[in-house]
Amino acid sequence: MTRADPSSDGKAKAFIRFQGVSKRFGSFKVLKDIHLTIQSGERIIVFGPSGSGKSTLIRCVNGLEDYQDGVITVGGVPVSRALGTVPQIRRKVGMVFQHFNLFPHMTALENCMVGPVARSVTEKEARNRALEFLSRVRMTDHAAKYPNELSGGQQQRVAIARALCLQPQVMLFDEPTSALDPEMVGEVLNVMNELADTGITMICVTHEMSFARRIADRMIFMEGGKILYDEPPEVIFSRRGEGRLVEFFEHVADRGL
Amino acid sequence: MTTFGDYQAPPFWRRPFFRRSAAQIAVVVGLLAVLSFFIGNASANLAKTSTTLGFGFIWSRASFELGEGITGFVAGDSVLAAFWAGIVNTLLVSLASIVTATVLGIAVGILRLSSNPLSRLLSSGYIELMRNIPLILQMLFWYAVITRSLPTPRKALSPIEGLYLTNRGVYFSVIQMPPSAFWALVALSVLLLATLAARATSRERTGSLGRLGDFRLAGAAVVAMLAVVLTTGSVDVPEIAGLNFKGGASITPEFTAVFLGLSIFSAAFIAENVRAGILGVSAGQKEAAASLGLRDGQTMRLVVLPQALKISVPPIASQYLDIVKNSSLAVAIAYPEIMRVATVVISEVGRSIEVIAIIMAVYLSISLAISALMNAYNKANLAKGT
Amino acid sequence: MSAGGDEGTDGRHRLRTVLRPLFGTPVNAALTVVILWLLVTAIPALLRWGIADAIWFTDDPKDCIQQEGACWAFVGAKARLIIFGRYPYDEHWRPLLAMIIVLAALVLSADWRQWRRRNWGRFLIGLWAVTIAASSMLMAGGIAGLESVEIDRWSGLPLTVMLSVFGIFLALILSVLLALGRQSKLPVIRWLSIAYIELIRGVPLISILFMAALLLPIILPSGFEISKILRAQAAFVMFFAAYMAEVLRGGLQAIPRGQYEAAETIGLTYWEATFKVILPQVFRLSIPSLVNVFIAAFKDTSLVVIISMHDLMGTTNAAISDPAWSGIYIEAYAFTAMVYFIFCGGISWYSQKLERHLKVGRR
Repeated sequence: MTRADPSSDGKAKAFIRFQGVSKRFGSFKVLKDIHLTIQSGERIIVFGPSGSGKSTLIRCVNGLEDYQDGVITVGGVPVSRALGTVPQIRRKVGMVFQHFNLFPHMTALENCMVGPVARSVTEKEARNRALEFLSRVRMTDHAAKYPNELSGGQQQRVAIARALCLQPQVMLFDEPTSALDPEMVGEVLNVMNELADTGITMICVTHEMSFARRIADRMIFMEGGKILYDEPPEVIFSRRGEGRLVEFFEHVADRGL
Repeated sequence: MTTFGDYQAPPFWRRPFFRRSAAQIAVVVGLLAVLSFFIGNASANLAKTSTTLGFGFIWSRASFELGEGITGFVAGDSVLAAFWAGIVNTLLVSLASIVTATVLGIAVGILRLSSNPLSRLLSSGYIELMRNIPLILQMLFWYAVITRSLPTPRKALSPIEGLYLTNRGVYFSVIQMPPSAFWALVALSVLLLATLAARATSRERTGSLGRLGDFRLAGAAVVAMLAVVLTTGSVDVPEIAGLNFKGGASITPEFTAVFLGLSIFSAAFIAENVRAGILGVSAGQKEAAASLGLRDGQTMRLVVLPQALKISVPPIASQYLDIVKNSSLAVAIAYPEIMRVATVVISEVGRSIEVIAIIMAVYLSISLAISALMNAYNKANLAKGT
Repeated sequence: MSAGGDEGTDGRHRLRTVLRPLFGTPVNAALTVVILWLLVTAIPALLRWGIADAIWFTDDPKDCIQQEGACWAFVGAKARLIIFGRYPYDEHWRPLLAMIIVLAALVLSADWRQWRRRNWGRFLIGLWAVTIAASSMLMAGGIAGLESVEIDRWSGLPLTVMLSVFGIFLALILSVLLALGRQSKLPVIRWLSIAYIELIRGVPLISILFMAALLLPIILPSGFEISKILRAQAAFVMFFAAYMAEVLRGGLQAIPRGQYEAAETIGLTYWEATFKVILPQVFRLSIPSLVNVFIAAFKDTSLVVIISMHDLMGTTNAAISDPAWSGIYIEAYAFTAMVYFIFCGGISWYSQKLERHLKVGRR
């Protein structure tokens, strides 16, 4: 498997940066003083027990959640609702959700076209782009179908194509396989594997450990709103017997993953 | 703190806070502009006829009669008293219709789900027919039936002893009694209701002995009421005197038409709510009841109806609100409820702006009162945890 | 519960399956007896009045007045008055045609097989703009050699249809804004929307009609005449918009948060997300309830009789007040009730079919 190594291709620079970021829901602290730097082209896996703040972390990157302290920058631009930079950030950031969130009244093709068309891409160009990415996720044959005619795995692939149609520089995945029936997880992970090979920056919240091991440059373990580990996969897996990781890996093993 | 590098923040007019504030200010300014345009026109138009606004007119003497009412309003009383008579009439006809429509609606709703095909057919025919014909047409129809097709008092229809149907209204016998006996009856019925309510709320806690005591108390109250009526009451029968009846009590054709129209029309909607409530109780509940060995009737009474009631109460309460609002259609046949009073005042005194403000305020208060009651009921139910 | 134990011959079995629901339990037996007694007493009397003793054709009102039965000849004589009211007699084809145009547009919009077509919403808005313009011009005349007819002479069924259909169409547009306003994050806009909706829903339609009829002339510049019909139309739009906004609010609340988030992340602005993603789904959810508001609107246009306008109800009243046919009114009310019943019953039949279709589609 050939894969671009971010540390050796020379263009590596901080692309996403968290500087002392904290977030509260009322009095409950979801993120506590997060510091994190992600290089362009890096593939990051975020994992940890539920409620650890991992979804919130990536939702802050494209402004779906606001945060109170510190600053997140994407490509040098601070993510800030108050400053009104969120629309500009979202032009660089694609996102895939746990529950796909396809638009039920649009076909797969229309789902992929609506974003580019809204960004004043011509209808024809948007269609070509949509068809290209639908073929990348092997959904060309289903382009004219509505979401309720597709399986969960197929819907999630369309959702990935929809995000890619906007040609983002970074892709966020929020537990993309955890709402899927087990037999459909593989097809979605395959597509994500191929995507990883293209060299796009990826931040992925997932519990699929073998997938993580295969594609991750770094794995981030979160608990209680803090980053406890931020290491390459080899290191994480070699230290699976220590500290907070023990419990988590036992739990994952229990589920047979 | 943190650095953005060479990042330049967007100008202030691109920021959401500015945009939101601007949008809201624009809406407010726009509304104020429209409003001041209207007010400007209104004051110019009013100046031309040299009228001024003000509610002082409600103290002036009303030079009109209203036809009927239980507040004893007569021409010469204040306009305020006329409005009050209208409000009382609105509440009176609404209340009477609410009671009848509820009883009729529950009956039709249950018949609609009966296992008897004839009763299903009859009740669904009733519901469909009543729901698809405008209420005002039904009221006008009943009014026409009463005033055009019923005989004059001299040839009155008398389906049962002491009840006379005529084109001047319905006359019937009443029991008359001294005021002291009347108040005794009121006190006894309060006692009866209180014991029944106490029984209903404390059913879980008290044993069968306690309930027996309640029943004895309730029974004693009923016996006492009967005794009061039999010893002090006398029957006042309406009798023909000249062209009309004297004595007894009467209901005007207007009231009867509004009451019939509202009750029969609204019952169809309440029946649908009852039906939806009964269907809303899950089949599992019925199966569970059957597996406990309850008979059909017991299942209905003990398991289905109490739950169905909870589902149906909010929509039925909003039907009650509709009944009150729909009673305003009575203006079409000149039953002197609040809307009719308003039109009379406008034609006799003028002051349309103020009068419309008054009726809107009256209806809004009634609506708010009913929804407050409903919210309280919902909260109480929520607290019971069902 | 009646599955087992029905052996015996086929005919007896069939008789039993018919009789069991009718007489199976004491309650059912009693119900059956009571209902049958009611039917036996009512139906022959009704048939005798409505058919056997009825007068179907006569030119002389006196024939009817002496007769026991129904006087359908009266309906025949007054049908055109009831349907078209005060519109000039020789021009009745124009309201008829206008009504057909409106109903055709209604049927076209109601066909759910078309709803998934691209840009269908935009097409429908255009269709209704054209329909409203064309039918109003046909009714008003003054162009293309059509004799001009004052708007205050529009009456009868065409007036009922136009008041309700146009009213609902315009109210729908206003209600979308109100529903969005009620869910808005901007407090001022939210409060204003809530105040409007709750105020209107708290008062009866008649009070709004009176307000429009009496206050509009006062608050508009003097010399700016606005016809009675347009004032009533404005009242209906204001009134039904509040009810439809509540229906739409229910639909808006049923849309999952994920839809908003997905629309945001692919870069749609608030208005793009609302019109392309959210509202199409809201309409799909709310259409059965919106149709119910339409039925209510169709019936409630009859309230304009109270401000002495001649819609279908008004023309019916006018017909029965003819002294030559004095005493005859049930027939006219029955005729008008039938017209309302056909319209409202038809729409509610459609609404039930649609609801079933949408439920199947969502699986």
